[in-house]
Amino acid sequence: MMRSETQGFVSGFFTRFLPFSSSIKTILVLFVITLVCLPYADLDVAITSPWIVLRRILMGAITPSYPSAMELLNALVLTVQFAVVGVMAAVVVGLLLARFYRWQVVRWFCALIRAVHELFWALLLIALVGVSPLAGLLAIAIPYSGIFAKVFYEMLLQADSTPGLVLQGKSGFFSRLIYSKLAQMAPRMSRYISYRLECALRSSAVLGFVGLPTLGYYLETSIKEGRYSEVWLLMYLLLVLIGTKRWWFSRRSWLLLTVLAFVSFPFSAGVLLQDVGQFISEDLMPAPLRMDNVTLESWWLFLSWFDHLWQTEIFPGVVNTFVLTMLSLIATAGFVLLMLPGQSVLFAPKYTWLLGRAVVLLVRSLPEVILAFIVMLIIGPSMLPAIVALAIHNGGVISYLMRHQMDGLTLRQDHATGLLLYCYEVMPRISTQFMSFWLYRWEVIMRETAILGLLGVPTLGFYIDSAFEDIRYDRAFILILAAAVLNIGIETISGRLQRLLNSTAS
Amino acid sequence: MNARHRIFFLLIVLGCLGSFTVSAATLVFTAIPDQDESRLKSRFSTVAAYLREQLSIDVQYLPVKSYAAAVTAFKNGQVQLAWFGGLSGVRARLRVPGSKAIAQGYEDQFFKTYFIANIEQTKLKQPVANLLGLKGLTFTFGSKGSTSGRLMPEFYIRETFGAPPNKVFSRVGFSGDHSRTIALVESGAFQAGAVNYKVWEDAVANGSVATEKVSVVWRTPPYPDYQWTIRGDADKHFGDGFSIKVTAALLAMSEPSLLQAFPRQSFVPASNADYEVIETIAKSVGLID
Repeated sequence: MMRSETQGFVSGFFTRFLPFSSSIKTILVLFVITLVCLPYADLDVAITSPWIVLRRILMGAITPSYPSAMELLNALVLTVQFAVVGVMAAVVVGLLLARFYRWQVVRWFCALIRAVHELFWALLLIALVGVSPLAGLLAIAIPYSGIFAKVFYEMLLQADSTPGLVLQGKSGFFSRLIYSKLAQMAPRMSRYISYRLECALRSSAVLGFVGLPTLGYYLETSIKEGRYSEVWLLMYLLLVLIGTKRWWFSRRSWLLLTVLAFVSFPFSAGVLLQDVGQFISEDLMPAPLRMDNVTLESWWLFLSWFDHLWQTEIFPGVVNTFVLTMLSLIATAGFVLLMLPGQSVLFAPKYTWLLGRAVVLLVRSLPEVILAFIVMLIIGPSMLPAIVALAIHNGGVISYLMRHQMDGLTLRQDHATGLLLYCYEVMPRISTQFMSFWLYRWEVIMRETAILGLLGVPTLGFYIDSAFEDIRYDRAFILILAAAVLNIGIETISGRLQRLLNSTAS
Repeated sequence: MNARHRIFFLLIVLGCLGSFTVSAATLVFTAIPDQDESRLKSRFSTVAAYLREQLSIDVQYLPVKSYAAAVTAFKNGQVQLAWFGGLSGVRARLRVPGSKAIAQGYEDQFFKTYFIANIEQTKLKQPVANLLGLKGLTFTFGSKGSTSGRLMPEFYIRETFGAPPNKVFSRVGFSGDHSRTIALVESGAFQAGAVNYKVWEDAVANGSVATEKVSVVWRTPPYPDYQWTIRGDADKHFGDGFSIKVTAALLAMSEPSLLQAFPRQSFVPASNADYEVIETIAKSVGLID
C-alpha cells in the first residue's frame, strides 16, 4: 500500500529523478512554494521608536506584581480545572474518532473541527448553549478532539500489529484494542496528552470571553491595557504551572486530579440551551435566504451576496493566509534548527542546556499575540511580526517535542562533536521525527494566523473574527468553511508527504 | 479496577447533579467595558449589590469581555439588563424587539473620538482642520465592535474621503483596545489611530503616554455612546413597572464608588431615539445590515 503511494506521476518524479533524500526534497519543494509566495507577502518594515514601550515592558519583568492574591489563586485553580477537564474529555472523544479515522467522512469532520480556532468555537458555542462554563469547556474539548483523533490514529497505525494478531479470536473487541494497541501507545500517548494539557493551560484565555476568570483571562486584559507588571506576574505563574506540570500531573496524580476537576466542574451553570433549528435557520442561514418563502430572486441575491463575500473576503483571505502560513512554516524550521542544540545535553556545555530549556519553555509558553505585539513595536505592522511570532512559538514547541528523542540517542564512543555531530549524525537520525512534527505544525500555524488581526494582515481568521464581532454568523460560517477546506487541503498534502517520507525511510 | 471505575462515574454523576442551582427571579446584567477591563468582577459586584438593595430581588453580574458575547447573552435572554456601547446597544436592540435604552452616562450624551498621530513620523503636531492630512498613513482602530474606536472614526473617514479606510490609509489595523492604540501610535508602529477621548485624557492625566511623541490631531463632533438597555420582557418576568423601577435605581446612583465602575459622573435618562443616529451611521458604514 505504501508503495502504490509512490507510483503516481508527480510523486514518481519526486522520488526518482531528484538526487536527494525525500526529506530534503520535501523541504526543497516547500521552499520553492514559499519563494513563489514571497512577492505576495507584505513584509514592510517601519521605522519606529519602540523604546518607551519596550522599557515599560522590561520594567514590568523585574517588578512583577498583582493587586489581588485571592483573584490569582482562584484563577490558578480554574485554569487547571478547565485544562484538565477539557483535555480529558477530548482524549475520550478523540480515541473514539481515531477508531473510525479511516473513513473519509470522519477525517473531514475532524479536519473541520480542528480548523476552527478555539476562540471562534467559544463564540459559536455561547450562541448555542449560552454564556457558560460549558461553552468554554467545549470550545477547548471540540477542536482538541479533532487533534487527538488524528494524532492517535497515526499512533495506532504505527503500533506493531503482532500482539493484535496473537489475540485475534481469543478476546473481545475492546480487550484487543486495549491490550494490543493502547498498551503500546501508552507512553507516547501520555506524553502527547501532557503536551496538550500545556496548550490547554494557555488556551484558557478564550474562556475569558465566557466570563471565566482564568489566568489567560487576566493575562489578556493586562496585555491589552499595558499593565506590564501584572502581565509578567501572570506570565511567571503560567510558566511555573507549565514548567512543573510533570510533578502535578504525574502518573500518580492524574486520575485523582481528573476526578476532582470533573466533579467540581459546574457543567450546567448558566447553560441556556438554544433552539438549534432556529439558530441554523436564522443566524447561520445566509442573509438573503433568511425568509419563509425562498424564491428564485432570493437565490440570485444569495449569489451576489456570496460573490461579494468571495471577492472582498474569501479570496484575499485565502491568499494571505496561505502566504503567511508558508513563510511561517519555513521560518519555524529555521528556529527549530537554532533552538535544538542549545537545550540538548549533546551540545550545550554542562548545565547550560538547562538555560536552553528555559528559553524553549519561555518561547513556547508566551502567547503568540504578545510575541507579535513586541515584534510589531520594533519593526512595525506587516506579516513579518506574525511570521516571527509564529516561528518562535512553533519552533519552541517542536524543539520541546524533539528533546526526548535527541537526548536519548546513543552515540559511538568516537563520535564527532559540535557542528559536525549536529549536521551529519544527529539531524539525519532525528529528521523523520522532525519532518512529521514540522509538517503537522503546518495546519496549526494556519489556524493560529487567525488571532493576529492587530497586525492589519487580513487573513481568513481576521475576516472570521470580524464576522463574529459584527454578529454575522452566516458570514462567519461560510468563512469557516473556506478555512476548513484550506485546512483539509493542507492536511492532505502534509499527510501524503509524511507517508512518502515514512515509506522511503523504512 | 472495576470498583475504582464505578466510583469515578458515580462522582461525575453527583458532580453534575450538584450544580443544578439556578434561581428563577434573578436579574442578571452584563457590561461592556471599553476602557478598563481589569477587576471587572469586583467593580461590578458592588453595582449588583446596589441594585439588589434597590430592587429587592436577587441581582447578579455576568462578566463577559467581548462585545459579541454580551450581545449574544442579551439576545438569548441570559441577561435582562446590559451596559452597552452605542453600537453594541443598537445591535442588541435590533435583535430583541421591545428592548429599550433606559439610561446613559452624563458623559455619553456628548462622547468623542480623538484621532492621534505620531509626531515624529507625521510631522503633525497641532490639530488639523480636517482628516485629509492623514491620507496614506498607517492607521489603527481600536476594537472592531467599538463605537468610539471603530464606528465613529470610520464614519468620519468615509465622509471625508468618500472611500473605505483601507483605500485611504496604507495600512489599517485593529489594536483591540484603546490603551494599545495609544501604545502603538506612540511607538510609531502605526502612524495614526483613533481612540476613545476618555481613555486618552486619563492616560495624559496619569502620565502613561508621552505627549511629546503623540498628539491629538482631530476631534470628532459629539455623539451618543454608552447606555443601559433592558429587555422588553423584563416587566413580564419581574412584575409590572419593573423597567421603571430599574431606571429609577440607575438614575439615582450617586455614590462615587458605584459610578467609578463605569466610570461616569452620573446617569441621565435615555431612549432608543437617542441612538437612531448611531444606527443610521452603522448602516451607512455597513456594520449592520
